[in-house]
Amino acid sequence: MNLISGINVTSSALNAEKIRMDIVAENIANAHTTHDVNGQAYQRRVVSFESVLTAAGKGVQVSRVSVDPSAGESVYNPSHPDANKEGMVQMPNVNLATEMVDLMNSSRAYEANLSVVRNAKQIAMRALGIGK
Amino acid sequence: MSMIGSIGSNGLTGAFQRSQEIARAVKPTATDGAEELAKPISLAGAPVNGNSFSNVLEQAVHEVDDKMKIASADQNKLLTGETNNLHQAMISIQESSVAFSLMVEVRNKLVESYQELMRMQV
Repeated sequence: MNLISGINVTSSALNAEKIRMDIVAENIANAHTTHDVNGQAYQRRVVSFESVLTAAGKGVQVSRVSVDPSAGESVYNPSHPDANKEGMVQMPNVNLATEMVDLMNSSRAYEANLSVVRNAKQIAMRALGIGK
Repeated sequence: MSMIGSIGSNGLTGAFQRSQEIARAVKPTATDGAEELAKPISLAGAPVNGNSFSNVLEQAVHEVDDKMKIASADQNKLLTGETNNLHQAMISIQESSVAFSLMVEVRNKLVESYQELMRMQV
């Protein structure tokens, strides 16, 4: 019995957007990390989505989280512990403005999916009121 | 189709027939849902296709109960920190709420038809 149709598809989209938001949070949190697990400066992560066939229809899931290979800026700061011989520090390639735009993007997408859920439920409740 | 016809000796079955149709609509299957509704229902209230009305109703109630169990399991998982899928829990809660409303609606229709019968002048 599936009373609210399409809700599973929307649920998968909500999940994917949540993961995207988590990755943005990771990027913002590491905006000044000069020493990642590999010893290099942090490289920002990017999520890519793929559609997945569920019982109810085409849902979406995160296909992979890849690393943005572009180089971050180098700043001159000889007193920094991660500075090289020339006194240059490799900073992460995280741009806060870009991350904020990504955050807004995924939060709006999440809201859009939430209104699908709300509307689907409203339609079901209205249908239950037929004949009243 | 005469509206007055159903007030006669078939009044009882007419009322039950309507309720039966509602109960059938609770679980429409892709293959036989539409055809089953269109088929004439036995006037004596006898089982149609081996599926008695009480069976259909019981099955519907069980499905609503299953939905509520799923919703409660999702809530537990969220509260105990097993998952952090807030939306999944909320969606199952809403789903079970809609299913419950449907069940209440079916019950109201049944009670309404029963009361309609009890008010009948003899």
